[in-house]
This record gives sequence, C-alpha cells and structure tokens, in this order.
Amino acid sequence: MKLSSIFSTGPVAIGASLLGLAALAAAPGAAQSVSGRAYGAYVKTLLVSQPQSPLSVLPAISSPDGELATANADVLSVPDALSSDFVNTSTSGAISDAEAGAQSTASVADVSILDGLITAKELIANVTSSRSGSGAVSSANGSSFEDLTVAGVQLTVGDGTIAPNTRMSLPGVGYVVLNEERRTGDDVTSTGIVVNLIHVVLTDPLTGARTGDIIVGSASSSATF
Amino acid sequence: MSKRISITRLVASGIAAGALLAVACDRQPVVAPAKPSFWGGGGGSGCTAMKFTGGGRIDPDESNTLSGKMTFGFNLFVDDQCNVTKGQFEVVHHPSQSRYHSVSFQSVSTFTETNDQGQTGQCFDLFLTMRAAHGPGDFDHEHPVEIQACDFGEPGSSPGTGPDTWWFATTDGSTGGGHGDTGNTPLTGGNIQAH
Repeated sequence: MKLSSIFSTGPVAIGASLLGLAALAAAPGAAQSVSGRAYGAYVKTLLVSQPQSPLSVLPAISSPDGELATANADVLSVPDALSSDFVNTSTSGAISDAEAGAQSTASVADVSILDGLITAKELIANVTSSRSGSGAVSSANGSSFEDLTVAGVQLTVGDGTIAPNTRMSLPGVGYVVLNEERRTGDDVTSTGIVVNLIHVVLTDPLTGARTGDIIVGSASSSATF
Repeated sequence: MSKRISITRLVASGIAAGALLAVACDRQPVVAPAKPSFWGGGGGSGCTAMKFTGGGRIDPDESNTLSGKMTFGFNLFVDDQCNVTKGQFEVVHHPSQSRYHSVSFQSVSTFTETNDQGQTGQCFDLFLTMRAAHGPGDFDHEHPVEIQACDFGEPGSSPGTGPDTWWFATTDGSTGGGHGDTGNTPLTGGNIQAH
C-alpha cells in the first residue's frame, strides 16, 4: 500500500474530533478560525483497527493566511472489514479581515465493507463552511454515492445522493448510518459540518452492546468569525 | 464568453513545443503553454492583490474533452505585481483515477467577471506546472496546466448552478486518460472564496 500524508497528525479518536469541531464552532466570542479534516476510512472492531487514513488536517491558520493539506492512498484495506482503492483526501482554508472559509473532500473507490455486505463504486464526501458579511453557512453539496448496495439492496444507480442520517438495520451485525451529518454553530458567526458517508455500527447480537465502528468517506469543516 | 483567457482557444493556437513532455501519456503533438500578455514574475500591472481559497467538485459533461467527476482543493496568494506569493493546488479526476499536484507557477492574473445571472465575481487565471499520476502509483510526470476559478458569492455551490466556477485544462495537447479541458463549469459542491 502506498500511503502518503503531507500533514500527518497520527491516530485521533473520532469522538475527540467531533467534540473539537463543536467546541470550535460554538465558542462564543472566539477569535476567527477555520478547521478542516478529511479521511478515507476508520476501522475499530474487536479484532482489527485502522486509524483515520489517509488523513488530511488543515493546519492552524492565523489571519491573513491560507493552507491546503492533502493525503492519498492507492489501496486501503483492513482484513475482514474493508477493501477500497484510489483514496484521496484534501482540506483547504483561509482567513482574511472580512471572511473565513474551509473546504474538505474525501473520495474512496471500489468500496467493499464486511466482505461485500456494503459495496459502492465510489464515494465522495464534500463539505464547505464559510463566514462572510452575509452570514455563516455550511453545505455538503457534491457528496455522492455511486452504485451503492447495502445487504443486497441497490440504493443508487450511478451517482446518487442519500438523505442525511439514513439508518438501516444490518441483522446480526448492527446497523449502518448513510450520509451521517452533524452540524454545529449558530449560522450567524459560526458554522460547522461533519459528514460520514458510511458509518457501520457493530453491535453484539445478544446484548446489543456496541462493539465497533467502520467509517468510510469522512469530511468536516468549520468557520468562525 | 468574456473570460480574460480562453483555455480552449489557447490550446488550439498552441505554440510549438517542446520541453514539457510527459512520458506516461498518450498525446497529440505537444505544445507549450502560451505566456499571456500579463506575464508575471514581477513588474506586471494586471493584478489586484488577492487571496483565493477553495475546494469542491465539478461534473463537466461529455461535450468537454475532460469530463466526469473532478474534485480539487487549493489556496492562492497573488500580489499586485502578478506574483504568486504562495499557492498549492490538488486536483483529482475520478473517472481516469488521475491525480495532479502543483509544482511551480508560471503566470497569473486576477480580474472581475459578470456571469449570466448578473452576479459579479472575483476570478483568477493561472498557468502552472503540475505533477501527475494516472492510475496507481506515485506522481511520475508533469503537465502544463491552466486553471481559472471565480467566486460569485456564498454559498458557492449547488448542483448544476454553482454559482462559483472552476475550469481546468492541460495545455500541452494531451487528450484522454485524465487530460483535456473541462470547460468553465459551475461547482456541484464546495466553494471558491476570494479574500
């Protein structure tokens, strides 16, 4: 596997990143700031784990400045959990006197999760957050699922979209949330968004206890001014 | 189209060529990118000092020589002498599994543009060299590239209507397999932000 990361921060817990984004976007009176993050996949089960990879994280930016971070992998596979290829992530952002913005993209091709239980030809997670004189806004426009199949049911033919936070049961496995989307900020001075295109939650068939997570195609951004 | 530079016209009128051969691509006769009249490198007067940042997606249709899903991210700082003082670009063409990343910048201009909806945007037109990989593996060759992008407001994208725009073209005459011209295309997703 070829794996390169221009800006690498190592494994970071998903919960921590979500909490950090929320805190950043919601902090009252916070200085102007932007954040961005994108990764192809994250796996944590009772047997195997894979940190967020390939991971792009927007470096800290002070006004007036801007940055771009990118990472990619030809192949990203975790035995019995995930196989994929052509994985690309990037995040960019800038702050100036009058506005701030960040954009993040993660794409993953030829996806097979849990030995074909979920497959897709390509996933693209695309988010943007901006704060300007007209307000603060975040968007997931451009996110898509190409030829998505879940448990034998084809949900998209060609490139298609899935409603945010669509949950499907996976008997004996747990459940999957498609186009998992969380928003932060007040949409006036701050805004943020996190999109996980496929989030499989593994549960114990007997107790229902959570035993793991598989996330494929994740992008987040925020802007505060 | 009232763009400062027509990428298509530029390719079609290409100057004889030479040094910018890419070893891994099937291509038509190679032409070098033309240097516009506002050639940078200092001393120019065709720029307003500006910063641009952006990222997102376009879906150019098959009428273009480069079509299908393309995603990108970038930041670009231009001074009032048309120098690129800071910049980095990453472009991915998904159908061909091609990646491009900026290596050096040859010239840039900034200008304003009014679109068909009457919105006035801040734009840049940039000639640069990008390293490329078509398919698996590391970057293994370079292409001369022209990129134009315009910021027509916030939010910058919606399916089919932008309003922000992105235009990418390899300018050495190569076609197919991740080469060609996307045409000026409204963003399906993402944002271009001029500061």
